[in-house]
Amino acid sequence: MQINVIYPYSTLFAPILRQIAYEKKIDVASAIMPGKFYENGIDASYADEGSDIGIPISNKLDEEISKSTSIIWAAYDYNNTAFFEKVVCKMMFAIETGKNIICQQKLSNDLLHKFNVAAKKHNVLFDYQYDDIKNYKKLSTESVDLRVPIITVIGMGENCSKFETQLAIRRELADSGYKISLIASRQGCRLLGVHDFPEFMFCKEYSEADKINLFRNYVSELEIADNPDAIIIGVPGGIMPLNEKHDMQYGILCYEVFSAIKSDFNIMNLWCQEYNDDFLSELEKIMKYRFNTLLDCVCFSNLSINNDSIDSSELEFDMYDCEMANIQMKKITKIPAYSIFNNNSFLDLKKQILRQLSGS
Amino acid sequence: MAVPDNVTPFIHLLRSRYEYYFYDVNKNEIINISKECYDFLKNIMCGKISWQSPFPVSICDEIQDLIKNGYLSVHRPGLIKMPWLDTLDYYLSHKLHFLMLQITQKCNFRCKYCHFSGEESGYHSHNFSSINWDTAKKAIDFFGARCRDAKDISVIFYGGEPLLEKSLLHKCIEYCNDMFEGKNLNYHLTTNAELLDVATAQYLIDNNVKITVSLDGPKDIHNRNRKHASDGSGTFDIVYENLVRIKQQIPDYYRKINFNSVLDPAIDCSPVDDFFSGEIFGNAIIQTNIMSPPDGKKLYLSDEFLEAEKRDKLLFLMVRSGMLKESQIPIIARNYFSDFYEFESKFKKKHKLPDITSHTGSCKPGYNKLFVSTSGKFYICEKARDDSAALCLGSLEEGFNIDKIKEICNFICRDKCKNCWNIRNCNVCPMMIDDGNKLSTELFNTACSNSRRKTEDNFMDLIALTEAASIIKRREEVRYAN
Repeated sequence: MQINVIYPYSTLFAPILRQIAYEKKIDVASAIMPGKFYENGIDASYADEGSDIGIPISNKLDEEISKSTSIIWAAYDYNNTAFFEKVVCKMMFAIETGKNIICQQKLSNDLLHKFNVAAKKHNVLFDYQYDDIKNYKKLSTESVDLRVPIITVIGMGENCSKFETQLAIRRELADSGYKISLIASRQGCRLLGVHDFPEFMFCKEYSEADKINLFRNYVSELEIADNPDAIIIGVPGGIMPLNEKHDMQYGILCYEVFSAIKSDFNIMNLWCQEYNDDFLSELEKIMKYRFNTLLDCVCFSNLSINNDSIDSSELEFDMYDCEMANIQMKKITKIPAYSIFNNNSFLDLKKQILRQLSGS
Repeated sequence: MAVPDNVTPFIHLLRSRYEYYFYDVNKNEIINISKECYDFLKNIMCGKISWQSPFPVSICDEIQDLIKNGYLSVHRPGLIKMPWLDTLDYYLSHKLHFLMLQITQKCNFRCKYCHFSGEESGYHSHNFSSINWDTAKKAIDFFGARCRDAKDISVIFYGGEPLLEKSLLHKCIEYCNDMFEGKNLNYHLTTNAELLDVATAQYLIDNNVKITVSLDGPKDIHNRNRKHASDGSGTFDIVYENLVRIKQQIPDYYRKINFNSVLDPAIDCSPVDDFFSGEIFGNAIIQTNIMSPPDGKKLYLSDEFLEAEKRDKLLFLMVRSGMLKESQIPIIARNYFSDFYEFESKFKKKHKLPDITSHTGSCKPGYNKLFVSTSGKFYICEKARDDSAALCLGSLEEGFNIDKIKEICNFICRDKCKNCWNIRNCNVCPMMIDDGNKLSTELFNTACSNSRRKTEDNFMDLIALTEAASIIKRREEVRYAN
């Protein structure tokens, strides 16, 4: 029997774990979170304030790893190299003691090579979840037509729960019997049957015009390969700079995606704070005149920018409970608004999507 | 909507020996203007002329340009309130990041200028109380349970002299290492270094503890104020011997050890500079600060000290104007102006003031810093008076006293701040307005005046630097042309 554990668990992995728990294709015994500042055994939703996941968080690292057959090496926001080195050592030791590793952590080529060699030597699986850029070279830059409906999920900036929104929409539509493909705004999530936002979009070796054509082709190949009823595309980054310090990638990826494809339903995730109608009108204008698309609805994250960090080099975010997102959602009347981690809200979002895509 | 006659631009006028300026509160910028414009704005600000009346022809273009570029706005905040109050519960329950643990109130030194040496009323005094492990563990647990969303954690071990409780310190560090694994964990302690042997220094360095050693300078200067508690003898020899041994055994120790020197203005402090240039200190950071006067008293300032201060200020201006390199001036001259550097680093251009805002002086009590005393009480910071009822934020038994925290935040946010030109650069904090029993309006008003004066001094230093740079540039141009 496969016993899977997640390490090092954090808020980054919470939406993935929620999806894993929903799909029930992979059994996860526990999510091992670094530190001991939380209650051992508490539900994994502790990490993101979302709905219950049904998998406990553990702080007993060695005990959980020794009981496991496979470890899902989760991506983690490392603040210090000492901890990263510790995790690398733990993973290497796990390989040496016969554990399989599903690696969601992006590694340097050297480190990746070391792990591949070690896995081969100890006859275990080391499944690196990232695509090889070389695969894209075969894609043509000639334009193709797309027929499948496309749902886009963009954010007013980074860290506004776009990935959670993409997974939640996919769950809701899948529950209604639709086959959905997802190109996620986050990379390294193949274990969920999710397609990476392609690496070539971040590469210097392609021109911006080539990237647009390549992306259209990437979606087209997906349309043929998966034969889905709809494709959800999550776009990394934001739509415009926040200020001089935080460029949010200038919304360039957003511009390129909307140049490559025509969105049939466009959702924008918002940070959890109060917005007035003027602001929403401006957003609609930006979508129309900068990205040549419409804004069909907004979706509230439970994350909000910490105002004190706006002028500092690193943005900080505050994570409220989902009730705060619900409160902000209810204040919006100008366009349909939904709230992350609110099941009823996502049912309504599904209805709107189906209504619009079916033309009713 | 029409602007009422009595409304004036939200500015503060300034003038140097040579030029005229105004500080624009909304834009947080100092703007150079003509004398005529200055005089006109002065009349506006004192109500002699209405801002609605036509601008004089001679300065009409200048003022219109300023207005066009967003200056001279009459906008003021609508409500003075700490914006974080609405999310106070979140910050105090998930984002604590700075724990200051009072390890002990004991100290083996009795420094003349130390607030803790009992010569000043009201402040903590040295006694025999240390935190016990049970209380320390509870404090770390309390803090840990409320730090989920903090990436960076700072744990400060505060004294008395924290190395008097080495085994407790080790226990706390081991426990915190385990508790906060995966976060960016930093420790800091300040020590008089009498008990800083090589093994202790190595242990602290290995555990990422930043150490500040209090050392005032050469033997005669150090021993003047820093004396042993046991017999009143000077403490320099033992401290210096420890540092020499550490330097021998851990050659790159200065990467983790800083030095703090308190300057006594009653004497000539220039030998301090030669002392810290010694090889033993390597590239360690040396901070200097001037001894603070006891409550209600004034310090005696020697002629030598005042002369040196003038010279250092000039040297500082020369560095800032590019005439000298920072490494060419004495350490004391570099450090005199740390306050100014801090001010300058925060003095950034802004857009208009938010409708709901507060002045910049106060911290977020409990969130910016959680000080836990040896008895397990929470205070707003380490400088709070012992048993200050006004600034006690709760205890390990009761948790945070949210009502008290709100009370402090509301007390320090006054409606009059709406019209105060210093709202963006204010430094009035709750510490300054605690009279020992309660927060005092009288002390608040005094702190307000002091803060405005300090900001104005900083503005004038900025202006002096700009003018000096401009004069140097002009001279260079003339020299180049010749």
